[in-house]
Amino acid sequence: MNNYLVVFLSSFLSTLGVSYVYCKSCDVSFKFNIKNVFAFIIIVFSFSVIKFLDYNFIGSFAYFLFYPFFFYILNPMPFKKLFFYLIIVWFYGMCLDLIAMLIISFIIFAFKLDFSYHWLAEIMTIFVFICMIVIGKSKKMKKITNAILHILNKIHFPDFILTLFTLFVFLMGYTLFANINHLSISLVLAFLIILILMNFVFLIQYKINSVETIKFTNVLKENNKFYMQVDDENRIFKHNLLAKLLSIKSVSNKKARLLIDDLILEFNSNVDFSNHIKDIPYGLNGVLYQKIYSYLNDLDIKIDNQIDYDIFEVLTPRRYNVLVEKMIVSLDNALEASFKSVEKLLIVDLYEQDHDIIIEIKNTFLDNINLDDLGTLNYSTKRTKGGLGLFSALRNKEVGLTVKIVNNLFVSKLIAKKNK
Amino acid sequence: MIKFVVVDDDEKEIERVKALIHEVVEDAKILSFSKITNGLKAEIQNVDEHKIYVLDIELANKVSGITIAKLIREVDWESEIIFITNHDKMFESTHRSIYEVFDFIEKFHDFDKRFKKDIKEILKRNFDNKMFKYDANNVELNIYYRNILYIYRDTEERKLVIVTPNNKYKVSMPIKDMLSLLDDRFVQCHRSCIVNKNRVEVKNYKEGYFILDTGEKVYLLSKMNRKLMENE
Repeated sequence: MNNYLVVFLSSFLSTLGVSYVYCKSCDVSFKFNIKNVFAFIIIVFSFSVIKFLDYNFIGSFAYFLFYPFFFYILNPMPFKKLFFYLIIVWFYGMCLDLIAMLIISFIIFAFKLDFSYHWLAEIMTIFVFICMIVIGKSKKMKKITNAILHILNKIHFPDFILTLFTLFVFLMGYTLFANINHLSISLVLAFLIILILMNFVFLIQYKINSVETIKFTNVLKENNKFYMQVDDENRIFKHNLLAKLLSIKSVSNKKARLLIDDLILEFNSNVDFSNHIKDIPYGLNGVLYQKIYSYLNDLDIKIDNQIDYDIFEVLTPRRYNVLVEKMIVSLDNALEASFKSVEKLLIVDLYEQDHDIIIEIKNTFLDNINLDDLGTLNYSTKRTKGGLGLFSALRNKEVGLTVKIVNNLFVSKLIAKKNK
Repeated sequence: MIKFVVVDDDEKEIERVKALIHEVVEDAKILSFSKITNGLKAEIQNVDEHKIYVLDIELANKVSGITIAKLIREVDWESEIIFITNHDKMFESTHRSIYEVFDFIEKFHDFDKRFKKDIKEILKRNFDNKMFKYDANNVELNIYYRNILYIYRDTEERKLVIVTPNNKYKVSMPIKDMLSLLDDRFVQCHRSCIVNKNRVEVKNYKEGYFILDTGEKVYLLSKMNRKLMENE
């Protein structure tokens, strides 16, 4: 009984350490409600039984068997993210185990101490627990964890599933090789079936998301087509009206000519596309046209496009969506600021540079800007409760956004990396 | 020696521009290009010396003079740009502001006279295109010194406010540090104000104000700083 209590205590400490690091890493506090405490006790009990009965072959998997559920109960999050946290915390534990083993072995060897295996294991657990608490408290470690998580998050879903499978096959192969006599084949098969089911569910989910993206793109294309038609009709109307004005001008007196000249200038002055709007990558042109439409008569707008191919060929749907999203935020801000300014200028440049697609939006503005607060949460030059647009646009790193002020111009540069 | 970079796809036009430049600056160093080349790109990237770019807008190549101006302004805001164009005036006003273009000269309208006048004007101005730069958390500020009117301390927010003809920018910085970032044209005229001397038209020490060339009257002039202000 006493032996079991010692094992229970050591399991309690290690579970507490792991939970502490996990909670601190993802910024959640451990809530002492029945669900969490019950899950915690179940975990401790399961680990202590496995340890006490010396089920080493399960011991190797136990962490990945029980902790995903426990972590999810503590803080529900998407599976991919949860898996990454699981890996990171496991990695910390492994490193600390290794360090503890080396230090304790060194001490025993140097001082020729005589300890039983069980006591050594307990000392190691206490050491690792203390280190886990230190890691959980360390701000630097939290930064490192976030940086690792950020890198891991860049992995695409199919790659992630493939990695998971490969990892599983590798671990299974290794375990079969090392514990072939102790491992039950039905247990391995059960693992395999669970993993295949999980993968199947996630792949279906992924497929549904892809279908949604395709649907979204189709709607975008339809809208685009509509804007093209409106633009064509508008141009024909303008052309005919100008022709009629010119014919009237040819028979008018001096004062009427001046008036007609003024009208013609008004018609031609506001928007200048370097090429026809339909040649601007689709999706982007629709958004551009929709946004500038209500300002056509108020601003001097110049749109220069150097991209003459399908933008979907070089950007992933996700990156494209983020690019459009950020362009909308930047355009909204630019249009509003430009409208208030004296010169009322707005320039949109679309071009590619090396491996990037770039959208540069320049606008004049008339404002009082707090430079240190610009782009922070709730700061808005509009003095309303806004300020979220630029803040969120600067946070999402899928598409880069740099903001610059050059003399009287506000320059937002969106940089989307092309697919390799 | 002043360096000129002429970009035009018409050889005759280049020769004409070269002759006009030599009429104004005898020992001018002139580089000419008919289109965007690696040599021109390298010249643009070399920002160690100030240059006067003379760019034809319509080039036979796909890359226009406007695109070249864009490339120049990516790295260099101190050199001057003159466009040779036959476009209408709306086109001119847009790009003049965007690329800080010194002038747009129409090819077939008084070109020689206007071009020489512009060169003389640039020389007189002596490339006064130095920039004040400030890196905030999410934004980079670049303003020509000549565009800064004055800088004062906002006592409520405890920030410095940089005032330009159209906009105001608040920055967190002590006034002494700010002064060290500026050049000689800026003097501290009050314990909480720095002014661009070149933009001041009237100084009234008795009533403690100055009037700027924009017409703005600012009550931040101290008798104590008279020496600094009058020291030309």
